[in-house]
Amino acid sequence: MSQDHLYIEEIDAYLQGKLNPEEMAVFEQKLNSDPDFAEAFYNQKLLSELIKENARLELKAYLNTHAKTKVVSSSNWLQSKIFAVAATLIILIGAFIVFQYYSSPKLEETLAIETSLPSPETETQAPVVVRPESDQNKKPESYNDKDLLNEIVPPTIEELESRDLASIDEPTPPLMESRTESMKDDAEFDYKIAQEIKNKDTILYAVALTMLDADGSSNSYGTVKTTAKSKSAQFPAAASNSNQAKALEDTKKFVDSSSGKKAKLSKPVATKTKYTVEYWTSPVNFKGYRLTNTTLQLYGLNSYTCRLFTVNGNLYLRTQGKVYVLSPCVDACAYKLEVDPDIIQFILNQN
Amino acid sequence: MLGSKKLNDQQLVDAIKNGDKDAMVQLYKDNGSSIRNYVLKNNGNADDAEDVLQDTCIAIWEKIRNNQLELKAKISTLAFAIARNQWLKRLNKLSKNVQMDGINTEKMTAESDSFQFDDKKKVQEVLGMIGEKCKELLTYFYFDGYDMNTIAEKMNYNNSDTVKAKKHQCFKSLQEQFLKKYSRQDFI
Repeated sequence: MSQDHLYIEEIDAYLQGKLNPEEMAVFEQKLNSDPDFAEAFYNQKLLSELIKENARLELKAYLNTHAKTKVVSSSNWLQSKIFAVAATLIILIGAFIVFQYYSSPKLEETLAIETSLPSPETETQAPVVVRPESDQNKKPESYNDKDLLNEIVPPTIEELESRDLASIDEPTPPLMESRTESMKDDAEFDYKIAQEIKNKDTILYAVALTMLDADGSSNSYGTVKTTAKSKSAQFPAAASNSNQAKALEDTKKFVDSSSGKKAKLSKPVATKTKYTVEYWTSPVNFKGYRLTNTTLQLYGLNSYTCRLFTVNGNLYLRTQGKVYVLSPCVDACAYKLEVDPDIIQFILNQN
Repeated sequence: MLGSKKLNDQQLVDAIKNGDKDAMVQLYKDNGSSIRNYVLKNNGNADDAEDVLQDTCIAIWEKIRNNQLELKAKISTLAFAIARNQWLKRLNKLSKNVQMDGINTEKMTAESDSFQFDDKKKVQEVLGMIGEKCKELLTYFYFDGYDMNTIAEKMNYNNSDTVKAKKHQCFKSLQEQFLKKYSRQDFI
């Protein structure tokens, strides 16, 4: 015990550097010659190191709880992150609002996709290739049927012809006059006159030639079997209710036959849809349009140079040799050039 | 104590001598950016920087407590020098370990000065084998380098002889407990 005690004291003194050179030499001599002493020494050295290391760990723990949270505070870091995220969000929202405000055509473009209006790319392909085969078994795509049932009225050759004739015989400006005259007794017309007065330079009228163009061959019109004869093809607004109803019936027939049998839906189909078109002049010379359901407001254009067409449910505007696609647009949208060359060509080929 | 006032170097030394850990926190704060930058600029990552910074603070604490520090230069200068040495040592160790490919023959043959304390839990477990009073006393003696009189004062013992006896008792107890479960080889 006392030997033990002495060992410990001696070793501590050595470890703490408290031995003088002579004592140190004796100590090291003993260390090399006495294995028991060496064993005791190394164990004691280890234990003293363990005590020190434990003390260091306690200090580190203190630093980790007190210094780190205060200096490189994790909550500060979190707060700054939250702030950064919030700032980013605000910037993004702001950018979105600005974007929405100044580039409505682009927004309207996405709208058009979301409302599943056919894009020119699909419309030329889909009816031709997919439909005749898939319709046998598959449920028809909701869009196409709805579209056909509610909006597209298959025209007749007579309609087309009469329409063509009308536009040839009567250039647009006088046509406007004559329309006014010919529709005088119509109740619908009265309403429009009222609006016309209200809107000053507004013409409340539209003719639209709806085309479902598949392969672009015009002679395939003949395959569309409808018997509806619209005597006022160029004046759909004045068309009688019965006539329209008939046209609708024909549309149904058309759809039935197309989905039931080897229908020729793939062939170009010209239909007509009634739009109310208003020509507006903006005091700031804004050029653009609004389109809701069947009401179209055109800004910065005049009725003399504009022609409207609907192709496969899409509304197109032709003016001065250019074709614009008019997607539904509640707020004012800019005119957007159509990109599909087939549709452009088709529309430019119309009178 | 620290909260509102910033200590100057002398006050800091005195505070640490009195065992004020918040003085060490000030050390950590004051030298944090320069030491971190140094490590980061010299192939260290953020964890390395944090380790070096903490080790530096503790090294200064130890030096002050052991009266090994003379205030010849500013503490910030000293802190940076210590951090630099520590980082270079670590880099050396890293490159040595790579060279030796994991076989540390040097340590196996000679009982070298350094032990391995990578497993913190083991260290804490060993010191947990004895009572708090014993741990405090042994820490004062081995870590802080206090003499028996100072420890007697700190721990309200009658005199240095009591402390000596107590210390011997505590150390024997620690040694016994340690050898029951571990051997020296566990820390080499």
